[in-house]
Amino acid sequence: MVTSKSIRILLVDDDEVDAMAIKRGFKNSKIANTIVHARDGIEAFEILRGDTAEKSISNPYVILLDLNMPRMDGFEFLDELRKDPQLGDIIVFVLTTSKADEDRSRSYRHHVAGYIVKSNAGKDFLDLIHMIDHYWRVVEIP
Amino acid sequence: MEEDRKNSAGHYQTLMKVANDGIHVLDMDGNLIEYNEAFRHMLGYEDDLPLNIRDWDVSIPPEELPDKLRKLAINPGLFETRYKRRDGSVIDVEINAAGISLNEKQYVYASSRDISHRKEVEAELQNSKQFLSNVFEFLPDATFVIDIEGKVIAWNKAMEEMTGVDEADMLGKGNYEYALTFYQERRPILIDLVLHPRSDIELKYTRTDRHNLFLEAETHLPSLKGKEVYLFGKASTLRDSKGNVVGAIESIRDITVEKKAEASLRESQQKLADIIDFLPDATFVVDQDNRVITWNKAMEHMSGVDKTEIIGQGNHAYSIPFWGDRRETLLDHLELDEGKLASQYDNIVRQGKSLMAETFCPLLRSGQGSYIWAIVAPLYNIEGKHVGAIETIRDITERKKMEADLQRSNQELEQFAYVASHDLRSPLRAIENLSEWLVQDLGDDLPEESEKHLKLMRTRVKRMDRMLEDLLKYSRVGRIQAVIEEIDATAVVFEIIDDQDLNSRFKITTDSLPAFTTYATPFKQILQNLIGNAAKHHDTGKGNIVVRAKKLDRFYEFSIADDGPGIPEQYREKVFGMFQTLRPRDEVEGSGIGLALVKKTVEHYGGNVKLDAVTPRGTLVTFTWPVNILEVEE
Repeated sequence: MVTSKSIRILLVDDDEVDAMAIKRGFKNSKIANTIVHARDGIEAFEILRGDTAEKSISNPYVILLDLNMPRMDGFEFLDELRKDPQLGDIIVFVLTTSKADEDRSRSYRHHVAGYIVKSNAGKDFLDLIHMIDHYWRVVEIP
Repeated sequence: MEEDRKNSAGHYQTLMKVANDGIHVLDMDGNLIEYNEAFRHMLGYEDDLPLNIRDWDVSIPPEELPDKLRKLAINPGLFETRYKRRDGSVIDVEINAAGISLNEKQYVYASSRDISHRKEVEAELQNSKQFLSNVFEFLPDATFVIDIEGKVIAWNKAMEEMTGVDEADMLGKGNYEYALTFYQERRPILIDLVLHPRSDIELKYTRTDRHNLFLEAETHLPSLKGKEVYLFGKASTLRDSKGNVVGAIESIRDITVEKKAEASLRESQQKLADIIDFLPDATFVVDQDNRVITWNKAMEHMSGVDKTEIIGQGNHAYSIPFWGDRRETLLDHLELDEGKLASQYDNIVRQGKSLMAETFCPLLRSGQGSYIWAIVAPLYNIEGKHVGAIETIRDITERKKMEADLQRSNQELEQFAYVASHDLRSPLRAIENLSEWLVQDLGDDLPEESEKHLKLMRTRVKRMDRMLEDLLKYSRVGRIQAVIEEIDATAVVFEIIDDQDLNSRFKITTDSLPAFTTYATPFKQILQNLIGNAAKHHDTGKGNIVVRAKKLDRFYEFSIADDGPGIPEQYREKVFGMFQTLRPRDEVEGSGIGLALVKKTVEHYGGNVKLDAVTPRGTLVTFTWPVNILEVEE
């Protein structure tokens, strides 16, 4: 049985402070899940496919994906991910600054589990953390 | 002696016999004494001639007869009378009578001639003279006749009317009397020129035209009966039956009205030609046979073809400078349907009888090519007959280029606004996070002053974030296809009140708000901004907000009224500008984009927005929004 504590998080975000905010939020909320940080889509695939010795991630995990990133952005990452027979069914939450309708609908077309707008730090952010924590408590992950 | 008398009587008998005239001798009582054959024939009797003149003369009253005979016996006379013939017919007779005495007795010898035929001819002549005279008088043109000596022998009614001189005062007058009425001097005029040509006089006329049989001329008189007139005259010699010139006739017509109309027509035609020539747009006109009749300066410039080369040219000559050959152009397709024109023209618009279109002509501007916009319209005369067409052509190459530039720069700008607001918000959020972590991590160790600074920093960060968010929304108006939803505007207003938590401070009234189907997101956005503004800018922080709507033709007119401080008139335009605020942002937090966003959104959907004052205080914002958003052309 998969417990919520054993679920890992692959955070794909080029912004160091955003990554810190996530980690800090988890820590403050006493959520101890492992967070692996990739700075863009390319690095995320290296980690997912075990192409790099520096970082690795093992099942079960979910991905928190930023959209605006250098080298390979969130949509390019999703395109490639959904085509990959091994990685195609991974749960992805999009975590972005973009409130744009077309970004949201484009994301859902890539079968993301949720589209979350990075709002300002503080209470909203904590709500996000708790939502993610809650999500894997109740949702069966493949 | 007796022999002589016998002889002479014999001669006399012979004379009587051979004479053609009806000879008879009467005694003083009018009894017929002797007569000849001609006389008997004249009266139509055989041998039974009446015995007394009273039986055949129907002209001389019987009681006057003795006196008449007596007078004739003393003074021979020639007179006319009338005879009744045996068959009852009456003939005109001329009688030459004289007294003779035979055997001491007094007789009257009369020779009578049948003049019935002469009388008829005379009557006919009289008739035809009368007829001619009537015609002459009746002529609408003022007409007069002079004899070979230059004396006036006829002067008709129309002439009297034209000159004010009566026939009676003119008949018989010579020495150029008639010239006085026209020229106030005695000199030869047109009628004299046909009798005695004089080139110096002919030159005095505006125009003279010499035909075989007559001479025509026009002249301008500064004053005739006190009025300025233009006259047209026609003169001819008059000849008798032998062909001898016996006089001259002249008819004069007042052509002042025609001349003035002609002059004003010429003037207006000239004016029109001048106007067309002056037009900044290349313009030409063709007649009903498609021959060029006007080709203005701008047209010369655009086509490189001088008007002298093309005026009068038909057979599609006007298409050569544009297309290089004679072909049908827009002007030839006034009647054609738009579909058939689409191969040669773009943006074809028909407006009433005129047709507009755009196209590219590779030959213009010395082969660089030009985009042109042309409008053609048929021309009709006053009776509605088609008499040609006019075409105006405008070089829109620059405009096309500018439009393309503008579109590109608009796209770039939107792209910029989108990217900038996205990318600029990330560092902002980082700053906010970091500042909050500083406060969290340092806790009580943070000096009070520094905590205040960090707080200020975060409000500025929030403000900038808000500005970037609104800027992004602004850049996206019309770029994003919104979703059509069924909405109830009343419910929308109350949702906004709840969202912005205004219930405790404001009394909200709604009136006749519609429920309809529209692009919900931009519509809600507008109401959010306007209701938000009403609350945010209220100087006392509480009051009334009234949202009303009424249906105009194809638009709803929504209005949001508050009882806040109002916007002074001089700022009512300015506040619609980007980043415009009326109060410092430290007092009233705001991006300064809200109203600009409302304006851009409303106008994008074909509506308009305006600000007014509310009495006694407050602001009234009115905006229109299409009833059926799908009818709006974007």
